[in-house]
Amino acid sequence: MSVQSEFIGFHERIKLDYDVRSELASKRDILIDKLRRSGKLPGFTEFNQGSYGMYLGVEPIDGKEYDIDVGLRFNVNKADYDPMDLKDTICEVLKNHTEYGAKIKKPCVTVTYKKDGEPSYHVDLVVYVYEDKQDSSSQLFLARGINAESEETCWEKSDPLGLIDYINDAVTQGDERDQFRRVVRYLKRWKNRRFSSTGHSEPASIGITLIAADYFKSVSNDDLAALKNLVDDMLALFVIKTYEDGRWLYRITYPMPASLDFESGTDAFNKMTDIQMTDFKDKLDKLSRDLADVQKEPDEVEQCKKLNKIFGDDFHVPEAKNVSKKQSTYIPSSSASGAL
Amino acid sequence: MSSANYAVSTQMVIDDETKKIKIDKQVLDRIHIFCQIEKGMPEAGGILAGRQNISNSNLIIEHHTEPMYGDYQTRYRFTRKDLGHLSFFQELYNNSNGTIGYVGEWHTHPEDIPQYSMIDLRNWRKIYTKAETNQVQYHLIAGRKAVVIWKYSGKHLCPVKIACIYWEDFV
Repeated sequence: MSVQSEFIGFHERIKLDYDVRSELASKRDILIDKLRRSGKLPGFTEFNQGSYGMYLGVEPIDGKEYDIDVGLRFNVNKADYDPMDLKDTICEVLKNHTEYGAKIKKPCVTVTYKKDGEPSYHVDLVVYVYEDKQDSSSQLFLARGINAESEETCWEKSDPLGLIDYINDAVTQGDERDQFRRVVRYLKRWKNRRFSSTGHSEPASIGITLIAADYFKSVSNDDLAALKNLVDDMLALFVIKTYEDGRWLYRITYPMPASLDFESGTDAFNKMTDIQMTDFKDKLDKLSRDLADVQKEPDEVEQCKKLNKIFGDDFHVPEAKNVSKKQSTYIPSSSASGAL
Repeated sequence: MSSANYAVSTQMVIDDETKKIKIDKQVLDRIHIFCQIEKGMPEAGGILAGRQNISNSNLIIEHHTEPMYGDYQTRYRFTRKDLGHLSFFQELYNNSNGTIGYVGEWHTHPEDIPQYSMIDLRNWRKIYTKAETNQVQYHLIAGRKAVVIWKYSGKHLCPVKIACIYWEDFV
């Protein structure tokens, strides 16, 4: 065994497993079927987006829900619909589908499922339409908004399929990409443990994922070093934004890739305040120091104890006797020493 | 002398060629108690025991014994004779499925920066020869101001000093 093999074991435990993926996929398919059969919506094609579509899903930690993001590309022209038209209809069709019904959120319609009396899954349905429905490669627009009256409600230029390809193709397929996916999952598990999921105090996963896609450098057989390097690269992106209440506040502004067709001026962290971003930086700083401590530690058992503190109990601490060499029984029966 | 040492939280870490040796702080703290600071204090000693990672061969010294009733102690001599040292080691060895092994000896010297004596050298050679395993031993002498660690292997005629740690930097 080695710290690297403990990392691999940790990854196996936190990665969204096949059974859960299948269960989420079947929930998704039921919803989609219901929408298709409703007769109230124009034709559409669906695709997985978010972490599910990027193969970067992690098991939620206690008390948090599984989620799956599904993009629906409606075969209609943007000019013929208002942003809320299709979202309202989807919500109407699905409102009695589960006990929790369907709820319109700014970027999507959310359907929540219950298991053993607790919310346990939710499916986010994201509505897209074409600039020109005759041309399937034409610009897509996302229906953003909660109600028709709000000023924020709009059709927003979006490139969800380009984004998935961008992430999936960022690192060469094989050992390097496997390590990239593991390292992103480690960061997500760290994030889920260190930040509250209420409000926007938690840094956006897509922001972290994009930075990882742009900066990740594989380190052969050393996930610890690859993770540490990425955390340090991320820290180097913070710049001072302002001075407030006796301290400097920092942020990262990270636009969607220029090669993709998103609304200009987008920022993956735009929902976070300067204080939340500075909190993110402080926690990343601590993570970097803690990982450096692990790297310096000579004892494998102690290394795993430190990693267990960072990542929680899914990171196992081996028993010393299982990671130590067998020794000879030799001990000299006596020993004579003297200063003179 | 090839010595490089730095403290990682509560442990002392020494580089030895490609591997690292970590001495648990509790072990050094206890040994420090026996330093011959006062004139009347006799030499003290015992064994050092530890385990070695399979993955990187780093050595973790986390057990030791202290002077026992049957040992011989004067101002300038320490002879480990009490069988208690052996039974302590045997228990460690058995309870760890044979993964905690003998590392070497420790003893004190009534001098600031200790140097091994001819008696020490003869003793370390004898220990190495009797082992019949070509296994390297690490021996520690605790002086009044510093603790020095030597490596003894068949490669060199004399022990190789691998670290000199000043108590004031550590305890």
